[in-house]
Amino acid sequence: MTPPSATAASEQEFPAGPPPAPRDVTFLQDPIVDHLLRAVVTLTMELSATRERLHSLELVLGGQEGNVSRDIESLSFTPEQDALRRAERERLVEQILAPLVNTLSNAA
Amino acid sequence: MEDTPHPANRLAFTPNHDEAARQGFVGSLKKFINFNVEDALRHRFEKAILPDYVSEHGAPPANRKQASAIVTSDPMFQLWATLTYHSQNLMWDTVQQTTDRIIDDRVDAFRELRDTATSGGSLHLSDELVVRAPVKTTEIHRQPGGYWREQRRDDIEQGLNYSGTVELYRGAKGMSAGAQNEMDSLGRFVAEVARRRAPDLKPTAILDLGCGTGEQTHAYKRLYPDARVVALDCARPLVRYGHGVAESAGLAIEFHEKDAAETGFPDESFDFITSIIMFHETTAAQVARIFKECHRLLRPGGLMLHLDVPYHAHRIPLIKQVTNDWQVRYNGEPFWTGFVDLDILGELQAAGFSAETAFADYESAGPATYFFFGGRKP
Repeated sequence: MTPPSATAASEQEFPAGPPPAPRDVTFLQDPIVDHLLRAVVTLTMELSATRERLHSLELVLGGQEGNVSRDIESLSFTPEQDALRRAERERLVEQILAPLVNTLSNAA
Repeated sequence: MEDTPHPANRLAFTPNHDEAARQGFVGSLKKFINFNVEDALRHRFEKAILPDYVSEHGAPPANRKQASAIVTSDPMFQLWATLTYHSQNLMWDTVQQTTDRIIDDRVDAFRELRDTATSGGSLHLSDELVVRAPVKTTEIHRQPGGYWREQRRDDIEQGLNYSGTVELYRGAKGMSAGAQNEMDSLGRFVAEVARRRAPDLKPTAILDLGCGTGEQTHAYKRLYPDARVVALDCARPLVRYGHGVAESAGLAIEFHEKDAAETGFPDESFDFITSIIMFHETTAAQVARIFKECHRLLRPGGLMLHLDVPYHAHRIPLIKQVTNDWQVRYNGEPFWTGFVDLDILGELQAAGFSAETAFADYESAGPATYFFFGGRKP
């Protein structure tokens, strides 16, 4: 059984790699507009992925019996599933808004 | 989510449905930026920015540095820059999602492949190797962790991440070598060019420098199954990954963790020495050292043939030189413009290749053109 990666990394010294390159350099006149544009692009990616998943879902369920809309409404989640969805939502919100907050914080 | 890598590649990068959707989106985004936005930028430069500059100064900018100074404040250039930058972030973010999900399984698979090595290949790691700049100091392509970060025993993560971007990146740049883009298509293209340049040569010992994840090296073993095929790279995670993928594919290839300028192989060990897009990730000093090492390693009658980026100033518009210069500063391509500024023919001759055999020109495969350079040993 492979130990969890984090455990292995914390117990040994591994090559760190080169220093991290910046991830938040901006190029437009107003850095806020820069981040807003990137946020829109990221949201578009998520929308695109979601649309593809819905399309796949329709293809999978297309030949099956039952009422998909009703079944979706009555679906209940396990605590683990619910936590996973919440984490995904929070990740998306942070991905969209954190660069704006960080830019304003750094400018203050 | 079920994860079933193909039996012919137990280390395969296998995005699930949503990961593939995101990575596909990033590929489409990059293609839009590389073609639509760059076209719009070129049009704006030629029709507005450049005429304005000429009317004010009486002459066009003399070089890319002067051109950069007048372009970087233009909104179209700024739009191109921020979209290019963000698409690179998104690329690594989306690829990392897949890698995080499958990495433990792939490391286990690597260990099994390494420990059995049923295909007859081998893996040679070196604790003495010193990784040199820019690979040592730069996250090439802004890949988080660069090529050589390790986070676990027997780590192959950097190879897996790199592998996950190759087709996305190549397609987005319009650099695919043909519509049916097999994993080793660039290697096959290099072998085809080698056959044209040295039709008398039947390689028996082949050295592939800067092999990265090693997929292109497969072409040489498949085309010359009886030849000794050796691949080397200075990044340990990539060399491990390359060895595992080759073993999984049933190809007996030697993988070495080595510096291309100091291989330690005996004189005249190889009759075909090659590389694919390695030199633009070195330095001017390393180019000279690697050429000398290749000349030492080459057997009489042997061929050295390298492929790299074709962005020489005389071949591309000034605005493309400006965007390439931006890639140097902001997108992890520290030697991209430095490489194309070199006098390669002069470097080849300084390393011992005669003026009669040294060459540096261009070959096309489908929509993509590449810079080929090298020489033969009499």
